[in-house]
Amino acid sequence: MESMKRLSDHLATRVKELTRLREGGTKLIGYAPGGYMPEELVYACGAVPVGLIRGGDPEPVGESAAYVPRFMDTFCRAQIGYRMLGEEPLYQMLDLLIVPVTDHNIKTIADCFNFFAHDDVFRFGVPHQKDEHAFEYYLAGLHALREKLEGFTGNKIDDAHLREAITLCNRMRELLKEISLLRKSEQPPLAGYEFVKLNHASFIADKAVLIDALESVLQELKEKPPSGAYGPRVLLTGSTLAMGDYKVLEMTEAAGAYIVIEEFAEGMRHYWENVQPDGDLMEALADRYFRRRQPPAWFRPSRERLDYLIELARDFNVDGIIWYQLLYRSSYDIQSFYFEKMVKEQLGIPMLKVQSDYDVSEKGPLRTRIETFIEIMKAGRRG
Amino acid sequence: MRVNIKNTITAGVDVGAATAKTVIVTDGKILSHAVIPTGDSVARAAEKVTAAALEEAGLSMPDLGFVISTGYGRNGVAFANKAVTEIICHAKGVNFLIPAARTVIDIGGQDSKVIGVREDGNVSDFVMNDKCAAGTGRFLEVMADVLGLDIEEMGPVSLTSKEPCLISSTCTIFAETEMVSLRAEGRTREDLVAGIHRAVASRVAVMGRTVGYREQVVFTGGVAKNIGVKNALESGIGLPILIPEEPQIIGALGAALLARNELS
Amino acid sequence: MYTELLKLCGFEPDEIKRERPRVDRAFAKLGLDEEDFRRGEWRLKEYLDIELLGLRKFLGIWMRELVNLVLAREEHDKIVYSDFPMELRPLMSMMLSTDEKEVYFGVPGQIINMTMGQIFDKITPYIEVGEESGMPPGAAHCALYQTRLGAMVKGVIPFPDLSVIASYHCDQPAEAEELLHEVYGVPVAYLDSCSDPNWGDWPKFNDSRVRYCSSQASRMFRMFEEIIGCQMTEEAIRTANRSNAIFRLTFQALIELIGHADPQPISQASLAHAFFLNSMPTRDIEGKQQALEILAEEVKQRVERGEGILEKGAPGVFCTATISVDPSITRMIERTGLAIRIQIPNWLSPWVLTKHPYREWSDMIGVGPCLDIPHSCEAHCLINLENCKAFNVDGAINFYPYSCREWVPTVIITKRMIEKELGIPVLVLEGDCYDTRNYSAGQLRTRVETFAELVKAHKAAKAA
Repeated sequence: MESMKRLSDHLATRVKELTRLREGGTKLIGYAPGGYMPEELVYACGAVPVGLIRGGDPEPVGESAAYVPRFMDTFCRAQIGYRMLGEEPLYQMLDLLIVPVTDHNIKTIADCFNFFAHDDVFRFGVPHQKDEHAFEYYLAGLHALREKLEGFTGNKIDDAHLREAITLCNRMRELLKEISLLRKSEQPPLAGYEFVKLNHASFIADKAVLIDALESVLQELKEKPPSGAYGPRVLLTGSTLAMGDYKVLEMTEAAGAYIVIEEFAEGMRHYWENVQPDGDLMEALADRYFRRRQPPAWFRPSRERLDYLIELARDFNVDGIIWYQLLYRSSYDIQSFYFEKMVKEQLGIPMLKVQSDYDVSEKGPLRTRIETFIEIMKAGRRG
Repeated sequence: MRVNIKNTITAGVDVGAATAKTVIVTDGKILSHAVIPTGDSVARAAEKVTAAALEEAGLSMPDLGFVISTGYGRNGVAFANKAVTEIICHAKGVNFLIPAARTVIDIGGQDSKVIGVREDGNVSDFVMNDKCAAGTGRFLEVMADVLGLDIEEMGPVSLTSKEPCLISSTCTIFAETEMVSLRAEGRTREDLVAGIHRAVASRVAVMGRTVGYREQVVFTGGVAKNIGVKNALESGIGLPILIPEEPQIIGALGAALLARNELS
Repeated sequence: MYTELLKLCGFEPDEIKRERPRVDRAFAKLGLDEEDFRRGEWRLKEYLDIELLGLRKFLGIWMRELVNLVLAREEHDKIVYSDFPMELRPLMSMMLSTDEKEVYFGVPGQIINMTMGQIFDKITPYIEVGEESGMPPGAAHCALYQTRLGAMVKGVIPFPDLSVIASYHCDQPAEAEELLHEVYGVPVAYLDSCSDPNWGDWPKFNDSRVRYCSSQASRMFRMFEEIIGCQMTEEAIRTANRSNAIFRLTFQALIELIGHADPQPISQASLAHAFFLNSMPTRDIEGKQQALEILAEEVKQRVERGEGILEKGAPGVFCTATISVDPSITRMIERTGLAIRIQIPNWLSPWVLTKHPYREWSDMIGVGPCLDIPHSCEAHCLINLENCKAFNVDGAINFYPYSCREWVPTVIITKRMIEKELGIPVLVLEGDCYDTRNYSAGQLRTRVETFAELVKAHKAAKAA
């Protein structure tokens, strides 16, 4: 598609563009993913947000061993590796790193950037449940973040700018969601792999360019004639789906299945809800980013997320679930144990659990398992 | 054995997982050395290898003023006066042969170490691999076996590789599986071997980062005889590496030198 | 057959006689046999300063708790569990608000570790069942929580009516309790907070975190009152706070006495059972205070007589986390000739000390949970550094339990910090607090022996 090409051209020159912006005095603000950092606040103080969501490469994981023992989540170790290796330009040009602290894995990114890279790092906490006190605490964190951003950039965040940023981000989310939902169709007009790339682009790309491209993509996809291809439909869920870590997507779709929805912080949680900009805007942000947002595995009650996943599987009419987790992300590992039983009892479809440490040796066995799983799904469909 | 203060001839006995080594020194000179496979008895291997070294030097047990044992079997050497860890001994041995050495990379049969060495031959800091075989001589042996190669052939074979395979596995068992699938993809033996060397080297190189690499870097242990691993290590740490003539006996040499200090 | 062992654990002959039926039932359920008793006796003599009466009394408290735990379902109407790293004061406040006969209160993971692990070295069967029950091997799950889950699933200890768990200092307790809730229907009350202090914050703490923490404590108390059917009382809270304060201060004085004494008067391994009472609620408040005072007096006498387990002038080190590991590792370190002056988290930083324990505990856990390990990596590392300074050590052993996600990120940062600030050698040692299958003293010996040489050389150089 022509519009997708436009977007990838933009991404290819994005580092240069950001360098130029930075030389002109614009602050680049990186943030750790997980979905609890409202980009709106960064835009509203005239800075540019950059999501640290690169992953899948073995080298940074190896590199991280010099800074933290290997028993932390693979993705988080990779972030430390990218920063310390110095080969990934985006990781080297940040003026400030924001880390919403969810668990110790994410917190480790903050600690290592602080100590080893001497970066300016700002943390704020994400409680592990959603009562009114938790909401207040998260909101207090957002206020602290706002103060930090204002002090750091020297620009006050006023309602007009914040509202403008919310409108911009809402439009992006709306488009991503609309494109994503096209996959509800019997014959999805785009592969999961293609959609994930669009979604990931939104963590790095200039929002105006992105929105423009997404509008054309949506149009093109709507006009695209049905392919006539049917394949098993898969819900992909798990701990982190990093930019560049596409092995599960590629192998699954190469074997003839469609990934129709990705339940990850770097997947649907990123675009599913919009901010409702009425009343106090800070509360509106907390409402969207904390209260209404679908919770990850370290949230309680954990049943909320699992019930939601079951609903999602029904809603997208999937034939199977692939649970993709990274090594040492203990919350997901434990949750998968009882989720598997729920899937069996409530949906009667198969679930495949795979784990990665971004190691090249994983590919062979992984392909075997995925291909077998797809055969099982196909058999289930026919039966 | 009683300490013989009058005698300045001392021995170091290094009983490793794969081989036992003895070095005999006197006043800064190496008189003789011997290497034999450890086999199933540490005590017997220590006695045998020391007897061999003594014979070569034309000496007998009572001529030794002090004996220090080292290596994983160091506490099983009955005739030693003292046991010292191989990390201390390697630093000492390397310092004697190459005084400019500040970092020692030692890859042995069952473990690997990166050691920071001070000017006086004392250890400044060190790190040792955990219980995993990746990054050790054992890993290379298993891989050689998988490829049907002799362990000595691996170094030279790898030199002709144009495009080393990417093998990042941290586990010997998985790496074995990986070999099989890479061979199925039609990769050449040269590329596979070079890839294995790179995997060992990168594991050790990363491990040693907590100690830091300072020139001169010296590579010891049985695996140091493998030119392929040496080259891979050099590119892994970005520094040139020296290998002593007999990389296997450095621990025993260090022990013998430390034994000499005990007498003064 | 276990008479000798129980005597080593400070039991009087008439208590052994009186308790025999209960002990028999509990030990049978635990599968303890003649061989285990022999191993237990041997380990107590080999690794601990078993001649100290205070230590034996502490062992006794844990052994009685083990029996109580195993028999809890037959002897009580309701059972409440918690576990490390839950702050002790709220736990004790809840416990003391209930009737001793009606409600059993315990920390099963810790009790099993301190008895079946530390004394009998027979913890693996529990861990293995935990691994099969949703906390698989190879994923660095916390062995304490695997043990706890395994013991319940095995049927050796009962499932509780309520579990109260801290869900912020480390990730794993809450993850494990969600499994307990989802799979076995156990109600769980969480004490939530966030580990989000920024670098440079410590020792200041954030008011909104304290407010959140206390709101979660109230929530936890309400759930406790509803499920257990009782009312928290002011008197219980006062007693909990007061007894905890007195115990902590006495313990603190003992730790400082040991840390500054030369030669090292007793093994640090002998302190584990006393130390972990700082996070294990026992109704025997008088007994634990008495045990501590006896131990303190015994140590004082040793110090006055100049007696110790190492030579005078041995180089001193700071150790992290070895307190909770198999005692053979602590003893191995000491037997290489290194005096362990102090272990985190035994000793509080001067800052915590000045505030503690006269502050409200919700303030306290706004900064750090039980045992005052702060939930900030920077603070954790700075406290390590403070420990090294305060006890003027010649080296530091940064032992870390590999499955502890709170601990792991601090390991290399601590090493760098201490090396840079104090110029002393630091050894990083990987192990596991609760699981001895993968790590043994033998395996770590080469590292520790080498390190001991480094520390001795360093001390000699400093003296010269």
